Amino acid sequence: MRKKARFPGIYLGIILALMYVPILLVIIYSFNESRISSVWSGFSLRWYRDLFRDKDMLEALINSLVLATVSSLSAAVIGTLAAVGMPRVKLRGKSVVEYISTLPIMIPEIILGMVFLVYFSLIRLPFGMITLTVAHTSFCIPYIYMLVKARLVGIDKSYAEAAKDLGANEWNVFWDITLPLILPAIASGVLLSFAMSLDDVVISVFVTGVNTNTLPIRIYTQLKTGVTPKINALSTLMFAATLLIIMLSTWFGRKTTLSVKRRNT
Amino acid sequence: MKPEALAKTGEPRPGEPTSREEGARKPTKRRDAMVLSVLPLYVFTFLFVIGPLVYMLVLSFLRRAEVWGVTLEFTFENYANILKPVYLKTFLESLKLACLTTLLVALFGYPFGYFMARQNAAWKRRIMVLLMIPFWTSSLVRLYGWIIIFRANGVLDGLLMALNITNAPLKVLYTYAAVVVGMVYALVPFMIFAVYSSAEKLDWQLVEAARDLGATPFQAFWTVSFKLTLPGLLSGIVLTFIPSMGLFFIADILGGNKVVLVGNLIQEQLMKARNWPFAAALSVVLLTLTSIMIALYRKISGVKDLEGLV
Amino acid sequence: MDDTVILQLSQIHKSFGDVKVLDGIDLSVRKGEFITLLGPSGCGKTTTLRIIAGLERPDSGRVFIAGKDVTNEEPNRRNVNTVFQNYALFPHMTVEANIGYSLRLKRVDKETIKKTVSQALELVQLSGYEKRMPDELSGGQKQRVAIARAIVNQPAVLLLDEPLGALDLQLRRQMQVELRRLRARLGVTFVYITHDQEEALNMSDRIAVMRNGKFEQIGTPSDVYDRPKTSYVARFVGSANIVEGTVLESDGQRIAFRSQGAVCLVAARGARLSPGETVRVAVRSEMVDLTPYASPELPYSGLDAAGGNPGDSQVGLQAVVKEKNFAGGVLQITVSLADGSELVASRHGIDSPLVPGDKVRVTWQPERAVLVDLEETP
Repeated sequence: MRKKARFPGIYLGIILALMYVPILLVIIYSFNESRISSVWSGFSLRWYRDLFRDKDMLEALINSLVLATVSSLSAAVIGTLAAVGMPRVKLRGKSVVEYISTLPIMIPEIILGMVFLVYFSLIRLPFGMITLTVAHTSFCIPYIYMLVKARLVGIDKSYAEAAKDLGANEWNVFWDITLPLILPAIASGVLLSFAMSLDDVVISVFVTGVNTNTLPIRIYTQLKTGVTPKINALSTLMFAATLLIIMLSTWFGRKTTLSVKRRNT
Repeated sequence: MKPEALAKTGEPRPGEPTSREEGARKPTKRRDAMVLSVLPLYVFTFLFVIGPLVYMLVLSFLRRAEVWGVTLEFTFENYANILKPVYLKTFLESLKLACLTTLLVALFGYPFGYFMARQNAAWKRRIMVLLMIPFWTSSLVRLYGWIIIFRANGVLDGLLMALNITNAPLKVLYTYAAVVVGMVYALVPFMIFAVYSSAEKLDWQLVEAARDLGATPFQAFWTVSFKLTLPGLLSGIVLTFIPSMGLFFIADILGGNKVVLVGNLIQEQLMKARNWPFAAALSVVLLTLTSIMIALYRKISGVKDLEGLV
Repeated sequence: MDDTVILQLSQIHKSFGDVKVLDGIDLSVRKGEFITLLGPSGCGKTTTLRIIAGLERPDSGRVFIAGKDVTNEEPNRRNVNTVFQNYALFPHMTVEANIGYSLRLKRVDKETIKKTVSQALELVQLSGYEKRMPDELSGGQKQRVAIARAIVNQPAVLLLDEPLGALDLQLRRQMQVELRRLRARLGVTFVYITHDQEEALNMSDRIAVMRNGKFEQIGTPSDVYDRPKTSYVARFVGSANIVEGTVLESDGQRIAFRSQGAVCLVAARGARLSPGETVRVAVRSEMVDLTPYASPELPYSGLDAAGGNPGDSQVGLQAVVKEKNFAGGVLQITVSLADGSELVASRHGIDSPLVPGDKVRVTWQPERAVLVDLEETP
């Protein structure tokens, strides 16, 4: 039995290792003195220095952060409100609207980018941060909507009933019961959309303005044209940021699993 | 209480009458307030999802203007254009690449998701974290890693030559193979998550029961585990096949100009050739293909949401 | 006990889609009374409770609380509180916040809330648990917190929806005692739901037995247990045997009827039945006597020992012992009758000399048997 169980472990290990090889190489070469990445000529922080002096890069970073923050937060508001309200309203074609609102994460990104490009020029929305925000919000909403909706379904109806029984009106129920219980779902939705927005290339390439760069767009153009090792340094920093976010979210996750565990004892 | 009655009583809404006669008697203000909560989504969806999609459809039937923009003239020309050998070839090539990618992704991803589901809880969580890290890392960062590996005299060439397997640089970068690797690498997590989420729900006692009833390990896997994880596999196939038609930037960066996907074609028509109606027609076709796949998936698996999507 | 009616339901009807759940419910509950709605799942008892609480609106009919028509009032405007089946303690609030929630909504000042909460906790014997989260409580403790939360508001009526359903047997028994004490101390009117007849008999002032959205019988525990009106109540509450037959004669005190070739007796209790009518009789298992067949026969010679029918019939049903089963402190002996139907007799003790296959005669004291389904018989 034990002998048989060994293969799956090895397989999982190999695939996971392969996933990390490209990332590790980027990190290693970000400390390479040489400009040519295939040659190792000694440890150096010079590319990090260069990176921090690159004003365009810094601007792109700020743009990306602003964009991700604004889109994920507006999506949080729109998505949460709708997820809470949808089951309670009686509107014709409700399920159709619900379905269509999730299309932005169902259809290929390239199509989304393309329709936004032509549509924004039709309605004469100036290309730049505004168009980027609208486009990113569109694919952030479904994540938050679906997560909050799933959480709402999981909440025992008797909590709301108990609250009403104890004298709460609809507003009290939402504020005292529903919102605190769906908060973790909103938070993870925001985190997920933030990451998606920060990483998006395809849609951004289409809807960005001439003078607006986000970090992924800048990296993309650099990768297509001339790569400087600055990209290595930048990528390493981005990876570190990702790592931090994941550590945070698993830490939160652990806290909740702990409390679940305690319930069983 | 009967379960069905419970299900229906699930959402008592004081202020909202539960029966129709009462609705006539006691129209309420609260429901109007509730409408306000879904209003933002409605407005956003109509303005920025339905609007663009409808416009794309309309645009695909319009004729391109001589210099810039479009003329209001109905035509099937754009769709007819797709059938031109040069574009049709791109479509078929793209389909072929998508099929190959999906196949490889399934081949690598399915066992991973399956094995992962059989680990104990602690390992499941560890593996999940280990998967999330590359998955959440910018796809460009990861792509860049492959450039380092594949480029002439890069890591791969260095390794192969050091081991005396080859004696000249292979120059894998800007080849079909590099694109395939990049695609598989980018999409395999989706397959893993999809398979894992359906394998996780599997009751392993069923497998044991099958073994107990005389099935060989393979028979038990094939008749029980595989059948029951099929929805996950199918969902993974949809989740990899659809993006692999459109991930133009992977083809761009790892394939140079040698590999042209539908995605690249759309981008090129849009940004360079400025033939928007043609790009719209290409998108409509791609979208139709996508919808058919999702509909097919739903029909086969009977599942409404794609497994492991969120 | 006060005689004022605190809660009144009149002609409540309720359907969910095509399913008729409540079919004309009438009920008056006196102040301070402990009334139990008893019935199997699906009989409509939870819906009745939810209609009283205001969590559900009846399709027709009225609900009065303390004389006021509250049929269309919201739950938060009714002076009733509910102890939910699964407790429904807010998982994100401490015990203190849970119990104090209704007071907080009323904008009672913090000091008073604190005091009231600690009094309520004392009452349910959970002092010192203020800062615990619901997660950290055992089932029985959750139960107590749920009760404390519901009584802190001093409701006119406390509704309890199978509050002990999730607890194990021992804890159930203990909580039954505690609930009774609590009610005595508070003097609050209890409307209690359960499907457990023992619980109902043990705790209630009155029991309303429900079936298919209607009350089958409303009465004191001894009414329901000793004098069931219908075979359903007899079966559900006392797990009684039902014997059907045709009336032979009646002397005003007793009624003799023929069943499966034998003659059986039942106390008339005022019922006037003429020969030839069909009767149904409920006999609880502990009232059933089994006599080995070998013993002297009991020829039937009419109710009036002096005359009447010549004795071609035997008193008592002929049966064969089928199986013996020891459960819950009593021995249950199942016998099968001539027509194949079964009867259960129970005895104290772990065994009896009877073994499966033995031929026995089934008899009972006429005054121990009850005529049921009188309206239904033609």
